[in-house]
Amino acid sequence: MEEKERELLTEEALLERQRALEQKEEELKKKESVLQKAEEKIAKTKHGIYDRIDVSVGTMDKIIFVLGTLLVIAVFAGIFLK
Amino acid sequence: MEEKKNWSEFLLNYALYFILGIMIICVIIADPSFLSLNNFLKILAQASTRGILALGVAGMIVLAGTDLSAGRVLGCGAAISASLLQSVTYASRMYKGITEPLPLWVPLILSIVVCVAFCLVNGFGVAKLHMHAFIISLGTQLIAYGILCLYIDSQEGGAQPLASLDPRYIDLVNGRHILGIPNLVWFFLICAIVMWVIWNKTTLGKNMFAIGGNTEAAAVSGVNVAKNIMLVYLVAGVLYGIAAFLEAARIQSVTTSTGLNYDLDAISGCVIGGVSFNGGIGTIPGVIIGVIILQVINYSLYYLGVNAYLQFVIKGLIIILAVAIDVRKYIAKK
Repeated sequence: MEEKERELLTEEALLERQRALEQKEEELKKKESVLQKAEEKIAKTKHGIYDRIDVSVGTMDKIIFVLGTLLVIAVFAGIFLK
Repeated sequence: MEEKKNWSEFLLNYALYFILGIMIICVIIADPSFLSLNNFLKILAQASTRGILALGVAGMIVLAGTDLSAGRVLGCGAAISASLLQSVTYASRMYKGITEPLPLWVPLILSIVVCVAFCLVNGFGVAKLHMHAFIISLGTQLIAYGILCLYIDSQEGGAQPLASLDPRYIDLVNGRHILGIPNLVWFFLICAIVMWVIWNKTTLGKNMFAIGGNTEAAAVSGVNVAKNIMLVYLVAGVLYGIAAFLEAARIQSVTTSTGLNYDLDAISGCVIGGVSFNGGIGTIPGVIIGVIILQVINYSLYYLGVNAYLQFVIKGLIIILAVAIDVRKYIAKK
């Protein structure tokens, strides 16, 4: 009889523990989903103005070359052609 | 092949400095008298007030913003400083009730208060209302200009220049009391050191770079984004106030056009010095070098008698080239 009561208590305690663990699992899942949403937001957000630029490095090299040439021409024109 | 690629990367990343270096060499060849200590000190003195302004603007650029009102706000601060420190023997001074010279710190504090007020308006718009810094500073630029004009126009004789300043004031700024270097340069150096400490050794500096690099990540990491943005703008306001006080004494005559285009020079100096418009990147030595390089260019073009209109074209090309190189570095890293 005593053994049966002990068994019941143990089962009840186990069920209690199971419920507590399931609750903790639920809470952890909620926290994980909040963190995941924040991570997705960070990854997707275009947080800098340069993120919107969609040109290749090669194109930028050509642009820099042209601007540099124009600058040198302007400076020489200003110094030597008066 | 690898070595060739490294060389071309190096040349492209530093293209602007090479071109400017060649330009300065051409100036020296065309006129060797350009290379004199007196000229160099003049350039440093001219660069100093713009440099202090640039130190303030740089913080906002690191936050991925800008400030178009810096020049006009400086004008307001300069007008207040000059009006309160006109010589008491000058008959047409603005405040005839001031019969004893004021302590120099009084107009300095007032100049700082006014400039901080404008900057906090900008900061509030950016931090709390999430307005773009370009737009809010465009608005405050016009407001500051209007207030400056109204203030100067409120004089008895109409809108006359605020001149005939107190000799103590002029000597404090333009004197050469230490090693023969203009005091203005020493003030710039002190401001630069203080800003270096703030940027590199304080929580505000770390948070500023975090917010500029990625605002969302900074917020998730527990940074109070709004508060830190307001603090950066507050610090910028203090710097504008100091620059305004010094500039009024340097030019010795404040008018409604004082401060015109100073913000563009400050922003250009920051861009040339490597402060990225994308946010989160910048150094104080870079800002100082950028401002000095820009001033050397301004001075050398003027020295050689280059057409004034062509000077605008050259400065514009320099700014666009600096930004293009910054974009290229960002894309290459991505």
